[in-house]
Amino acid sequence: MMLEVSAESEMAIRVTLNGVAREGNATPRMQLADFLRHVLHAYGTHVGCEHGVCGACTVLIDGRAVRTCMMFAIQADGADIQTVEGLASSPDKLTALQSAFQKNHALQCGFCTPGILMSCVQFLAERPQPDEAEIREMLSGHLCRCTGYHGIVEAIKEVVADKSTSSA
Amino acid sequence: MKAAPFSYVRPDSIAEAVGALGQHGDDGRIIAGGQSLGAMLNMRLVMPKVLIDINRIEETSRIDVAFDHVRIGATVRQCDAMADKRLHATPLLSASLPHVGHYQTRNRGTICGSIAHADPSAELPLALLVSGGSVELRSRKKTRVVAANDFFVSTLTTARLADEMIVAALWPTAKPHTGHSFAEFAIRSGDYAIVAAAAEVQLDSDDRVVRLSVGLAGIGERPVLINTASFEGQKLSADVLDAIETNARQGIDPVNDLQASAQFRTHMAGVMARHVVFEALNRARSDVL
Ligand code: FES
Ligand code: FES
Repeated sequence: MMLEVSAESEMAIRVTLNGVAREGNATPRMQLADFLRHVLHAYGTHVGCEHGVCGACTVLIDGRAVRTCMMFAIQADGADIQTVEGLASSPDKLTALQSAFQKNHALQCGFCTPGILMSCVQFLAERPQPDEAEIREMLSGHLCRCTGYHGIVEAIKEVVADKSTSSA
Repeated sequence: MKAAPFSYVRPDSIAEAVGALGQHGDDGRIIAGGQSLGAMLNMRLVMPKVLIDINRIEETSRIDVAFDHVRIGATVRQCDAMADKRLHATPLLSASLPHVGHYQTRNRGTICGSIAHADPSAELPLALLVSGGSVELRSRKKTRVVAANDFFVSTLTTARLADEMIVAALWPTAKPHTGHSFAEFAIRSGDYAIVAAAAEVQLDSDDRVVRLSVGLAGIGERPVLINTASFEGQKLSADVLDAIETNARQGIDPVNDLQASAQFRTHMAGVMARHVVFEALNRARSDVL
């Protein structure tokens, strides 16, 4: 049977958020970004432009970096979602990527950072040894108004280099 | 910026999707990857009463290779197409895909969705036009195939009727001894092109043109083909390249906007057309030798 939900009705949306089963209600027009923040209270995902330009709202949906302002919550029913909250197990146990961001001044205000980190997770899993041009091409999907991107590129390169020496 | 309220339907088959379209007509709107439509909904540039989400339809997520074309279903994502080796058969499509949006938007955006959206500076409509491809449309009553040149009408406007769904894009496979090229000029990687150009050149063993197809995007309300009829059977000399550059600047109507003047776009149209023909020519020659 084809699912049909009227404009005013709320539907129960079930997702796996960072490994935990979660549920909340949304009307069809609710953006996935708003659902994560205002219904599930996962505020790590930021919202900048709401029209697919800045990349701040990027999370992993079934392993892929996707802009959550360009998806409605109702479309994500049943999805496996990973957000920045799922990266570090505690504030003093950052992932290698997060530590490299900290060390290389890859963030200042940090508004863009959660989205960029999530893109990097997929990107580095697919391409363990990217060159700088590939890194910059991937980063073109994110706007950062603070850093000039240089520190971000350096952080990613450092993670790549560390991985290649540790596996060598 | 939140979308206006809409009802949501999620068909599981093409039949259900075209059924919903037939029922709602102009009030219904199909969403595939939503990487263009999502922004338009949030900005309330479009306010459909019913959003028809085709993302969970199985039968549209396939790429099928036929004898003379590759058929790309309505929900094939750009990133999946890029990773699919069978797209070697359609090199112009492969060459254009990395220019479409960003890594993150290609994760969700579809090939057919970009064609349906018909932005005048978008890459995939241009590539489909130059390849001589077509679009398969289905309604409750019938299926029809429309050539790209007839499909793209104007800015965000196509020959699709209100009750029709794009079920696939049909991409001709490149003939032997054919070279291709795709290039665009944009301020920032991933932005819509200020001017984009694409070419396919097929040569015979005597280095003469069997087929030459050159197109431009970003220079008017829809992608256009440059008139190349007089070059068939000829060798692509420097004189012919000059003529292509001149032809590219004729009969186009680019806009003035914040990014570029109409004059600049007209100039670039000639430069880019020449560039892609030259590159396609060299690729075709290396294929002949
Ligand atoms: S808030 Fe989603 S891309 Fe800017
Ligand atoms: S750190 Fe401020 S926007 Fe990137």
